[in-house]
Amino acid sequence: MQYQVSLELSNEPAALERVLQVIRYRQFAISEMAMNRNEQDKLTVNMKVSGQHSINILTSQLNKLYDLADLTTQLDMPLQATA
Amino acid sequence: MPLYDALLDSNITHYLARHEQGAAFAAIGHARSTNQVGVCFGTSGPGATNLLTSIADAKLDSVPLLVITGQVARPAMGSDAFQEVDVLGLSLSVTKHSMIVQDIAELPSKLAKAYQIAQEGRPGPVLVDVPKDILLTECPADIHLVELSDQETESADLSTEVFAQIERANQLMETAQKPLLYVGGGVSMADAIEEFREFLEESGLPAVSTLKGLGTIPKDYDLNLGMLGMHGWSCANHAVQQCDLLIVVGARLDDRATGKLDEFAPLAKVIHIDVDAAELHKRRFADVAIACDVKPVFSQLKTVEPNQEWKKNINSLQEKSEKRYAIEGRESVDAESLLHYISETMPSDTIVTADVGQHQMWVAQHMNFAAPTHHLTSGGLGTMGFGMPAAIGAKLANPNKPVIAVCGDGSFMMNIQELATIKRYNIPVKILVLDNQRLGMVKQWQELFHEERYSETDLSDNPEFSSVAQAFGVSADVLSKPEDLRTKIGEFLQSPAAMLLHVKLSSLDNVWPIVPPNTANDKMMERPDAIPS
Ligand SMILES: Cc1ncc(C[n+]2csc(CCOP(=O)(O)OP(=O)(O)O)c2C)c(N)n1
Repeated sequence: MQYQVSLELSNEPAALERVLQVIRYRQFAISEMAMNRNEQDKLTVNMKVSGQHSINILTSQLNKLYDLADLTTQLDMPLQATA
Repeated sequence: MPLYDALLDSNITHYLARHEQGAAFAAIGHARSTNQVGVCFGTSGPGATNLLTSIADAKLDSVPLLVITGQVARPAMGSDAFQEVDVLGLSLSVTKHSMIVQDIAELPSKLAKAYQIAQEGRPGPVLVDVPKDILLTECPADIHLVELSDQETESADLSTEVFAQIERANQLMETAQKPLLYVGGGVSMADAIEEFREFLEESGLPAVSTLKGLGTIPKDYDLNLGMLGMHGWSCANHAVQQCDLLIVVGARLDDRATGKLDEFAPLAKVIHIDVDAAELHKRRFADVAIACDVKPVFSQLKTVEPNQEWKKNINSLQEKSEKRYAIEGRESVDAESLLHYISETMPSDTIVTADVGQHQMWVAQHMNFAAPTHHLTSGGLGTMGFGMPAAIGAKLANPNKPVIAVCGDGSFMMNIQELATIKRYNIPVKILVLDNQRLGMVKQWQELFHEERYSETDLSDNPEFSSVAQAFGVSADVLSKPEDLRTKIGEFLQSPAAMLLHVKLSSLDNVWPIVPPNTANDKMMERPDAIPS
């Protein structure tokens, strides 16, 4: 299953690495990613991840990160191909 | 260097270990025996890498630990400078949180935050990396100092959401025919032993414990089934397999405890209460999952009159796994009987630490502890070399309690240098080296699961551990004959100074029962001579 994950992080050293480490360790893979540093010095990250386990396994771990300010996930529905 | 220079003028009591891993294990021993934050330092580069194993140990066993590492000066960072390693990068997967100090002004607040994070919620290790030039900077006069304090034990109020979940849990309790409590280390870490025991007495529920939970259920509680899991008692494992409601508190359903997950507690609905929401539904679906501090929960749980038939069933399981001990009548000292004898004769407030292997499981199976703060064992990481340095930390934190380290011959060698720390500070810990001249637990697996093909587990060229201890200036004795056991253990327990007792065991003994890997917990292998022919 593929999910869209959007995160907002404090711009602390290793904040992004920590997120990537958790995703890899919890057996999810990233297929797309974009990151931006906004005017409030927050990092906003949008990515597509997929994995065998329930996405809650990942979000509950990401939620524990101290640099995380916000997290939303959504099932990434592929557009129905029209005949 | 600047930190140690400042130590000379500070009121901090510092103990110099002989290896950074030993220092951090001592800090863990302090933390686990007191439920307070343990603190240790390491220098940059190799000092920091030497700390990593202990930090990982603290992560997997949820130990509040503050680790402060030195880093090269900021201008040199990123240049592969002498003794530079990327400590922050290395720390990511083994800490609860980690940070680098980038300015002297943020040092106090970062330290305070790290100290707070280490102990709040589910405790864990936090690392603060401090570049050398920051340590050399004069502290600005207007710097805002923050007091480091141990967390108040007062619990937060339960949320309405949690109350609703508790209501659902109570409904399940009311209808259950065969309810069973499953207690982990989280109850003690939440300072909730009293609340738990009150609930246990009132509810009269049967209860099993994880390795880290041992000591939570009172020893003489009539429906105490002891430890479950790979080397658990058969009554505990069978009760879990038979129950229809499993109430898991302060535990994470670790694989060594559950055995083959698909066949674990197959008939049970599960109520899972833990402070870490990420542990709920992680390995086993919970019918009711409650993420909160466990301390205020017990008084809200309904106590239901226990079903008499289930109670009878539990009693008969207990009878079947009755333990038998025999000090005399064997050629060599029997470790199980030895540890049971020590447990029965040592003062009740004794703290016991263990290394990792067969002896660790014998300690868990055959000794009793006043509380989990009195049984320090490396559960999640299973780190050989944990026992002696953890005992040093526990003794320093609890000078009035006796502390015994039970070490394996293989494990003892992994932090043997800390004998020098014991000598230097005259720390009166007692060290029991259970020497079976093997990496015993690995030997056991080779015997049972690899057709007796013994590969690299022979340690029959071990040194005379008593002579080694004496060379460090620590008094020592040897126990090899069962008939000397009572006298020598008496002297060992009464020794006012540090002492090592080298116990020579047979290399043949194994830990029973054992659940083979990837097998359901009720399909355990029993001691061969106990199986009726
Ligand atoms: C640091 C470390 N290395 C390797 C292991 C794997 N291991 C688990 S138990 C064990 C043998 C332990 O031998 P010993 O300390 O003599 O205890 P015994 O099992 O003989 O009681 C080994 C090598 C480990 N747990 N920790």
